[in-house]
Amino acid sequence: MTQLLTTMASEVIGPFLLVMLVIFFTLFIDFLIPSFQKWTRVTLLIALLVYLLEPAMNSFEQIKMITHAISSLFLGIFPIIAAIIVSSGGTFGVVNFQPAMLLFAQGAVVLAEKLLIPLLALALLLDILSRLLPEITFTKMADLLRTTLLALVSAIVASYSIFITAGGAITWAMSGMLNEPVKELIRQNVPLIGSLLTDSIGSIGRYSSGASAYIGVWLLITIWSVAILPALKTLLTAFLFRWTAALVEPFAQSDVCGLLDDIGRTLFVLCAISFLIAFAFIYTSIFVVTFVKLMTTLK
Amino acid sequence: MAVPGALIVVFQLFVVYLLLLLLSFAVPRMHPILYTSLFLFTVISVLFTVFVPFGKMLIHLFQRPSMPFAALLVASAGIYYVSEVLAMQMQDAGYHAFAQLFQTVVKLCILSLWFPMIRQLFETIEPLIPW
Repeated sequence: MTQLLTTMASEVIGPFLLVMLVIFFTLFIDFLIPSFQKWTRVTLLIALLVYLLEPAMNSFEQIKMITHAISSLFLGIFPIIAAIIVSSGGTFGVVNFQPAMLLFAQGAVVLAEKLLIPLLALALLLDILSRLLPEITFTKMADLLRTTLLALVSAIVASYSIFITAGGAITWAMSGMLNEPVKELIRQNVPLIGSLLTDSIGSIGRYSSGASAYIGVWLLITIWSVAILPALKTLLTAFLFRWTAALVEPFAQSDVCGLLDDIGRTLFVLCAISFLIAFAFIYTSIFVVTFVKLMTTLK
Repeated sequence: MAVPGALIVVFQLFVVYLLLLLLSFAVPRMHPILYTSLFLFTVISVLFTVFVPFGKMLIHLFQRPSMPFAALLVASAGIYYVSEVLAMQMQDAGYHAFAQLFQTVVKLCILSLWFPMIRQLFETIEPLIPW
């Protein structure tokens, strides 16, 4: 277990330490051969991208994979759901099932897969390009893309909450007294997406605590951790990017720490999107589990 | 390379400079060819007594199994510096065009050193491109 944690930590934190070493090393070269400075900058950017894009790309790949898995899961269960809806209407009253909700969750997944993630990747590419070629900047465009995506995701999460409260009879299980300070802490300390994060976690919690009567707490915890882990890893990576940018700012060129900061911000938006997907995943899997249980017990 | 060794090299460089001054007065007509040959000798000796050990030390200091960057950067900076010095010598002799050509060829060499890394970068970025 400890070894697993160590390897995970070195996998995530290692590249960032390496980058600090690399930047320190380029200071030596700049001092020795000042006429090489321009080249050092370019090579440093290349090295940074090679070392640091990999964690960022891993997050992208992971979330893409999960999105794909969820949409195929939905496609797999859809015919059965349709058949059951036609054959027995009564069962669904127990589950408090809203077909519109499931459709909505899947719509969000498809939207994320086809539009949000590619657009975010485009924003990242534009950032990289504008740092590599400072004469041709796309920073405004990248910022615009990021804020638009964030707005879209928040709108979708807000409508999730509306759907869930419209379902009624489901309350957030944890006591509000314990809950509020934690939420406030997250809201204030996670840049860009803090409030979004707490809102979406609250919505998922409201839904899944209602469902826990049917499927058991441990299964619920498993589903939660499977859904949330990639998002948390992305969040950690994003924080590491911003911390590295903050740490190297005194002695690195402004390009370098700007690039790190940009990648960090992009990853925060990716984390928001991954929460959206995690929500869809939780909804779909809770629904499938509840449904299978009801089918096996009631008949 | 220790500090006394470097100091000895500094002293030697100054002696060579004095020798050059002396030569420019003693045999003014032979001066360009003497200057060039002496310069080349000095460059080569300094290269192997100071630059190469220092570069090795620097690489060793920052070496990591997963970090080819340090060695690459040291090698390319060293090559660039030597080429710049040689090109300046050519310019001193009046061959500006030749110096330009020389520097461009060296730049091409440095770029080709970086090709594997640039290819790695392209491979990393590729999945980002959605179409």
